[in-house]
Amino acid sequence: MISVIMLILNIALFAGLFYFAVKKTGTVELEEIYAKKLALIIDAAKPGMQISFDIKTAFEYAEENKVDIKNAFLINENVVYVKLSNSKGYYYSFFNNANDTTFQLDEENKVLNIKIT
Amino acid sequence: MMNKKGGEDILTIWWWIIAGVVAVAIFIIVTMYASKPIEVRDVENTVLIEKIIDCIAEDGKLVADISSLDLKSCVNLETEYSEGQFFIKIQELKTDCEKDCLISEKIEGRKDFEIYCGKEYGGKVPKCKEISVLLSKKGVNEILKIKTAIGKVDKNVK
Repeated sequence: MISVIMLILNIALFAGLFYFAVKKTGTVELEEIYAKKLALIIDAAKPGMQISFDIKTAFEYAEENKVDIKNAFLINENVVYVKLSNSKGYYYSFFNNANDTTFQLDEENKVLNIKIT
Repeated sequence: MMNKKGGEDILTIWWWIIAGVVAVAIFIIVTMYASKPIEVRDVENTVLIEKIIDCIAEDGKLVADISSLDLKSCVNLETEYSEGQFFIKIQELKTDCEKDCLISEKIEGRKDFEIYCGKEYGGKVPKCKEISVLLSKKGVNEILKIKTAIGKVDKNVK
C-alpha cells in the first residue's frame, strides 16, 4: 500500500516538475523570442515589403494566459512590444528607417502581417 | 517484520530527500536557463552594416560623401541614441598604402564602445563587428572600413 502511494506521489512530483520546466521556459522566453525575431525581421526588411509571420504558438499562450491577442503585438516608433501573459511583457528596438511599419493581425490564419513602409 | 517496516520508513525519508534535491536542482537549472537572455547583437551588427553599405554604395561604387554623411537617412537609431546604445565608425581608405591612408571618416554614437572592438571580451560589454569592403569612387578603388558596436547589454547578456 505504501509503495503504491509512494509511486503515485513520485509521479505527481515529477509531473509537476516537468510542467514547471515547460511552462517556465515557454511564456517568459516566447515573449523575448518573438520581440527579438520581429525586430530583426524589420531591420533586415526593405521598404514596400509585406511579411507574414506565423504566431500560432502565441495564440495558444495568449488564450491560456487570458490575454487579448489583439494587444499582444504592438509597434511604437522603433520598438516592438510583445505581451503574452499578465507580466510586463518584453520589448526590443529596431533601427530600420521604417517609421510607419505596421502590424496587422490575421486571426483566421494566426499570422501577423508586417507591412514595411 | 518490524525490521522490514523500519527499512520502509527509512527508504521513504530518503526518497523524499532525494526527490527534494532533484526538485531544487531542476528549479535552479530551469530558472537560470529561462532568465538568460538570447544574444542577437551579432545578427544586429551584421544587418546594421548591410544597411549602411546599402545606403552609401551602389553596384560596388561609393555614392556618398562619408564625412558629411547623415546617418539618420540610413538608419533610425533614435531609441539607441537616447539610451546611448550604439557606435558607428566609417572610414574611407586608400588602397595599397602604408601610412596616411585615411581619406575621410564618420563617427557616430558612443566612442567609448570602440575599445571593445579590438578583442573578444566576456561579460556585460558591447558587441562589436568590423568589416572592410573594396569599392570604387570616380574610377579609383578604395577600402571602406565599417565598425559597429551595440550595447543593449541588459537585453542580451546575463
